[in-house]
Amino acid sequence: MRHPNRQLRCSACYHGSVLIERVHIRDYRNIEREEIEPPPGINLIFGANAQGKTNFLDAIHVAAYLKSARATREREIVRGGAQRARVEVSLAREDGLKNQLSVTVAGGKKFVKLDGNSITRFEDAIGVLSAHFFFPGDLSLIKGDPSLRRETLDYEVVKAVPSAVRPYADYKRALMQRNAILKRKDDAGINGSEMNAWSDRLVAAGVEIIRMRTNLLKRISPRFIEHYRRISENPGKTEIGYVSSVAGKVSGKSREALRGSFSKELARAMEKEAELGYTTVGPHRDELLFTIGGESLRRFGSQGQQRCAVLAFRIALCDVAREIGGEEPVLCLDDALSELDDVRKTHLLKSLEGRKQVFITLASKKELKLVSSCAAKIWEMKAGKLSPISRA
Amino acid sequence: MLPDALKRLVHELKKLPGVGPRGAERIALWLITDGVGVSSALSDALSAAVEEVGFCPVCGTLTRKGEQCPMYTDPSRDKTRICVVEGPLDAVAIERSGVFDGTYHVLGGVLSPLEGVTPDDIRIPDLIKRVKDDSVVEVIIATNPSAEGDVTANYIADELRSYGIGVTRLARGLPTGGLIDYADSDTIEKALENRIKL
Ligand SMILES: [Zn+2]
Repeated sequence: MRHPNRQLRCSACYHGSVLIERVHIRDYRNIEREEIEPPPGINLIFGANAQGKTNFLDAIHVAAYLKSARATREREIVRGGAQRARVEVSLAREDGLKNQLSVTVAGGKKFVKLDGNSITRFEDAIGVLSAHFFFPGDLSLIKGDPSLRRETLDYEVVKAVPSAVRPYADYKRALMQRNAILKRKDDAGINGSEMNAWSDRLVAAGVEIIRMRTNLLKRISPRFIEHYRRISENPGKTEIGYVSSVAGKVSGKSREALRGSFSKELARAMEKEAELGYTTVGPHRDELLFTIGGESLRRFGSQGQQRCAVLAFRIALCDVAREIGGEEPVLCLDDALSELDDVRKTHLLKSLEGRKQVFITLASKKELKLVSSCAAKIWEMKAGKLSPISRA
Repeated sequence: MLPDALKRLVHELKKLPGVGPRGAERIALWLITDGVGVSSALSDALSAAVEEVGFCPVCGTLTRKGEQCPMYTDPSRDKTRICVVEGPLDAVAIERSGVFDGTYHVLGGVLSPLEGVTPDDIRIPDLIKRVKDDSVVEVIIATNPSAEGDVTANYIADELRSYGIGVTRLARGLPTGGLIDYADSDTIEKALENRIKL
């Protein structure tokens, strides 16, 4: 008999703000060879379209999440004519710890090294570089599948509370076992006590997940609202709600109350679930709902509003990570300014000041004038080469 | 390449748990060369074990074939206390500690719908029968601390509720000789939960 009780990895063993001290990129899309040492604070990367600004941020994304934010296939990130693409970052943490992380893509395969050791379990290397990204073309956080929003939030929960991996693992296991009972098609039907034993397990872990998610959301929410208000043209009241499939309004409910209503919903869904063969309620079906003026941002928001919401949410996640985890992620914003008027541009930049490290790209010379006073360092990207620009 | 008899030996050895193809060849070669003295003893021991060892029809523990186990037949042992374990070797481990003088009940697995293991597959009906027949007063559940082990324990506790007997579960916590700063946070959490008054 297998026991899924292996020691789970603590995915947040890193404390203290993280800083990228050096980035070394080889044959990553149009960047043939680049090595820079970005200072702390705001790094502005300026350049015309298609010069490689976004590719640079995407390379950092690869170091953080071990995958491109854009390519669907790994080989697409290798520069035409090259054998392999490689991104290497040297990281420094507040507590003095250093890490060297490299990701190489060759022949459609990925090779990861952390401090000289090959990593085969990629989860062990994801988040070593903690970073948040904004790409203007990517509104999937608002428009995509609900699972994407849950995953985004869960990732933050586990970073904030490392021991949370256990209820997540427990829930997943209980869900699979419970679904296996629901799928069982024999004359005996479903054994009630056996089902209850797994349901209890599901409920216990599920309630912990719901509580951790809503607790974190409670911290994210005011920051999100504040950032959104500052950068959006046409504010309207924005909110992030947690729509639970088992407990209605979660806030203010005790553990016991949540357990009670989760169990009740499971009992209510039982007949339907036996027919469908899977569990239809629980945190794996809950939804994170972005609203504006009480309406779904996903359905009724304009592109501009949705874009602002994604940006505000990413910045809010960094705020909260700094506040509770002690680790402030690196923030990477691609072309985040171009759609904002001057007042809002200034607001956004102001809210980025005093952060450990930010990379922000921009395309127009006009913006450069406006923002150069806040930047620690300005770079120009031209045909895949970065060069420092002295202040005008 | 290999002589047929040796090939057959390798073929059978490969079926042993934890033995790969290369290991099987090395073991086979050793058995017919340096280990030839061991081989005949081993083959005797093997046929004797297969012939003579069976499972206690009451407890499911390892014993002489066709007989009840000495733990159950020993009149000095307390038949009203049953320790429920997943496998026969778990009973051996607890027995080695020498602190338990009740009897055992081997489930032969834990509930796992994914692997098709249902309550009927793991000797739970037999356990309930024993509870009635032997006027059991306490069932101590010693399944492993996995999701399946926990759920099986809870299921059994539920099934026994109507009999009004004591159902307990082995405590979890720090291992003897272990260091606290080496323990994972789940172990520490459980140890705190199960702390004892001094
Ligand atoms: Zn016996």
